[in-house]
Amino acid sequence: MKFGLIKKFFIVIFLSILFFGLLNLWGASGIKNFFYNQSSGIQAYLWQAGSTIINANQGQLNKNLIVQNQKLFSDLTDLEVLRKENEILRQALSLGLNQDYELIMGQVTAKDSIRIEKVAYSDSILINKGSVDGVKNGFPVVLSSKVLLGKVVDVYDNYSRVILLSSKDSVIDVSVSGTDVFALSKGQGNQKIVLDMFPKDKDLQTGSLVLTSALGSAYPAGLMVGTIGQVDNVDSETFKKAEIKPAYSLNTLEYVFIIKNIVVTNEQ
Amino acid sequence: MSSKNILLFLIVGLFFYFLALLEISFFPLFNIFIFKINLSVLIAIFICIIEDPKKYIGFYCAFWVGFFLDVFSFSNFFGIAILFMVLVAGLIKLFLYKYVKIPSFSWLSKIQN
Repeated sequence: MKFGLIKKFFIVIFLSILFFGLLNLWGASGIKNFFYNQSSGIQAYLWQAGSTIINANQGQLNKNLIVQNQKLFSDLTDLEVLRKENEILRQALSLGLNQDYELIMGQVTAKDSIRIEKVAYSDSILINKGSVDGVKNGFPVVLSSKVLLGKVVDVYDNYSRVILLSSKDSVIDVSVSGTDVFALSKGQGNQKIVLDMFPKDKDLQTGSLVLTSALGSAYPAGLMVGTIGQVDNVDSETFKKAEIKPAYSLNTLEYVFIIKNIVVTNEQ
Repeated sequence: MSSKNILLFLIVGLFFYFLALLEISFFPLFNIFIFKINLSVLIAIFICIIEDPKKYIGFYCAFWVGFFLDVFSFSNFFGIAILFMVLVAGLIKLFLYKYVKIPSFSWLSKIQN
């Protein structure tokens, strides 16, 4: 009797693994896409509501942001969403973002912070543009103010996953303003970024700008990564390390731009 | 499986669906400890512990938590979380059934009857 139960248990486990293996081969992305589609409205509303509550509690916004958030919270009609989209596009146009790159505009709907080795990423967000809109793996994602957010790592029909610069899977080539030095920006998870491989004999100032460099091929050069925070200069280490304060804030992430291709070549 | 069990299964699914949406689209914006941990997993494990080991609500919870973890938590392999959660629920129930004698909350088992 007991052996029969154990035998049944292992048969169930085997069949389950077989079922999910086949599902992953043929249908898993369809299931995810279905649920993303069904819940996108609720997710967008929850994200906006959360951002509004956070920003209202912080008390540090300027008058323009306060007015925008108040209007967003009180008026959820299509017309209000279009008005906000137009403002973002005007800002992008005035900064010349569209002249440098070909862009796809998307909206943030969710964030995840779980990381399982080679299975799931930490510090990643979900945006509502996918393969149908021309998004592909590896496309950089920026804000309208030429601030780098991360890159696309998974693409579904109507949604894409973007890993942020603070993700443990994110390593990019950067340069520090005021120096001729190239270094690496490494994500530490939990919205933390570290500058690594900076030569010990070079000067590194708190507050210096960190930009993407021309060395790396994954991202266009000249995009803002963040500013230097606390500098660690340990004698036993070969390189200097420093904290990078990201130029983006998770609480204000709403509309993002996916760079489809680079129109203007990087300056050397 | 009786119609009552099926209804219970679906209601549990609905509850964890909305909790999953809150966990990925609302809670991450707040820097509060209780919002940083995975509430769904905690609730599922808690129900497995307090429920009568012979009942099935804990399995329903574990299945739906695993399902929505696979859907929404950006896992590359669909089904891993489902298998893991159901296995954990099974192990908890087995352990409680064989080795631990604590009174379970009888009202939970009455919902199923």
